Amino acid sequence: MKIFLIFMSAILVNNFVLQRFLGICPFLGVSKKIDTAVGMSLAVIFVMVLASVITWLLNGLLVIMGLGFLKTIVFILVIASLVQFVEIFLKKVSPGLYEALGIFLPLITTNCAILGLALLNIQNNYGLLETIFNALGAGFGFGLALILFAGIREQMDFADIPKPFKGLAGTLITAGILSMAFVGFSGMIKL
Amino acid sequence: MANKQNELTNGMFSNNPIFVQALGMCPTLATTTSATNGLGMGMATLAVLIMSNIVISLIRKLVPDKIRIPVYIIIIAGFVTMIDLLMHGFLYDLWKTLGLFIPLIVVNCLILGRAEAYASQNSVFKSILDALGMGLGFAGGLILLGSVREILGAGTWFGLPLWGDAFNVFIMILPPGAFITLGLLAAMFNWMGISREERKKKKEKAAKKAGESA
Amino acid sequence: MGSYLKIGLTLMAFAIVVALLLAGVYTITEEPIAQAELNVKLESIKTVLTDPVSGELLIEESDIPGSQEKLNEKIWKESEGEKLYESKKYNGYCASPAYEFTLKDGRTAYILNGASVGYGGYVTIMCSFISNGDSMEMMRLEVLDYSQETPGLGAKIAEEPVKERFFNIPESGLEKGLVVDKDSGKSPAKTKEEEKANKKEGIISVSDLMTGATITPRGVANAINTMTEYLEQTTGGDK
Repeated sequence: MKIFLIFMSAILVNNFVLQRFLGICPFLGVSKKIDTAVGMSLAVIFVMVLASVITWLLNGLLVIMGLGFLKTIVFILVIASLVQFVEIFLKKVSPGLYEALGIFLPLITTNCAILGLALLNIQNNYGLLETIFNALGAGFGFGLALILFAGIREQMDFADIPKPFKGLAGTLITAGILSMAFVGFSGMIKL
Repeated sequence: MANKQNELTNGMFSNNPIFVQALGMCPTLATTTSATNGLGMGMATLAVLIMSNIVISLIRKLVPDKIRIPVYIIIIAGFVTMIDLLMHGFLYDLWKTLGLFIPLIVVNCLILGRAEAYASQNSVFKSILDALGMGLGFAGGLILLGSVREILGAGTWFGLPLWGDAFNVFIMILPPGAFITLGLLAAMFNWMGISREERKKKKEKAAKKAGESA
Repeated sequence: MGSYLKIGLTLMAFAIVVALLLAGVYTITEEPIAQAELNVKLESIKTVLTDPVSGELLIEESDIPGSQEKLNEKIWKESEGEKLYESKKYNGYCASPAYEFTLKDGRTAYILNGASVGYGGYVTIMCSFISNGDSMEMMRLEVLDYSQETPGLGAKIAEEPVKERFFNIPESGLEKGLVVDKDSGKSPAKTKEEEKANKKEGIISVSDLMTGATITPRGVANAINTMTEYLEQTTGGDK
């Protein structure tokens, strides 16, 4: 039961992008078109689950050796390597998606959502199963926010926006309104 | 002398990490619930930025090109962990408030970006200035955003009560407030840039006309 | 192959140097970190042992633990895991360990950490229960963690005027089980005397300060009830 709550909470109540502020850079950068948003979300979910499991296992090892303070360095190196593998994998399997994602694929490394997720799993003392469901929830929540936003932005392209609000400013205010909608979920799940 | 000043003003104004480059969005939105928090986060990031710029500039000729990104990451992560430990021991309250976002300084694209774009190709002294400029620009943006959110949301500034509970828009302190405030500030800076451009164009037109009629 | 090996070794060399430097910083900061964590606990304990009416610290200055070892000497009850006790009725728990102090005037004080569910999650508090042999009252509380409550609404629970509404609850109130005035059906207290009388009945008057945020103080009330349940079980008849 608890893992289901963790999963739902990560998607809605504690949405990684709109509530926790993790993963903003790709959120603002890749959300221009719905199909790139979908591709990015799938890549992120994949990296998140894998990275969570590997970092969770490594953390156990570090703690046993009394080297817990090295976890930031170890985690970020694991994530960087994983993203390298995903890049090579995508290039072979789906070159179209690889081209579409462009610079944003290696930038998954600096996506604070992945490192943030890995650190949160440890902070909340999650077991392996809880970690996996938290990662899945975080990934789906990220994807949900990203795809919703891409849909809105595709519509915004046709709107007549005043000059100062074109670009980053208007995007942020729209994200704020979307975030307000998600605040409505708060209090729903008490972990 | 003019060159050295440029590095500082570049980072602080014309190439401001937050408002111009749109880097480091995550900590910008998350840690600006008050001016003090923004200041603390800004200082921590500035510290890491200066230290990593110094070291990366020092070793720039020793690092094989193929592994330069992992090496930079290791160095930056090392300094971030150091700052985390030092804050835990000596600045407990700030450490507790900033929480998860201290280790997340590692993935602040600003630091890796400056390492790659500047420190790896310039002298130590210039890299220090660049770090100072960018870091102060980042911290300045954080303090600005934190101040607006704190003043409107809690009626205080740096903890000092202005009008206290009399007027509180506490959505400012919640996530939507962060997005909207940053959006409005970005729009304001945009507008200032646009009007500056238009004034320049008007001046040029007037000068041309004056030149033609002369 | 040779060039890859060289690159790999260079990378490892950098990693080892950084790791060693970090180990150095870690050993230097180990002490200050432990001390900082301890200080936070001690501050809360000192606060809940300060009489809210007179402002006087009720234990001898010399009795304030200066180190983790000294604090451990004051442990009254502890458990293997994090929780000493869980209450299904009040959806709360008491955290391990619980401390026991002897006050200047000879009475016994029990310091309990506990939590119950508020709006977004657990609200964690620390309470001092003072026993004079015949009866026990809950003298003072500190709110330790309210991070899941809404800023400006539930988060007001940590403000001094709100906390004060929970101070000095006599045994008669504790035995009844605490409720916030909104849940009691009684109209809100208008004077300090009415507040005091309400406390004897187990009714906490907070509705005027926490309008629109009843769930958070209800959580705090339940946390205190959880502690009362635990104390009744452990100290039983003889207090």
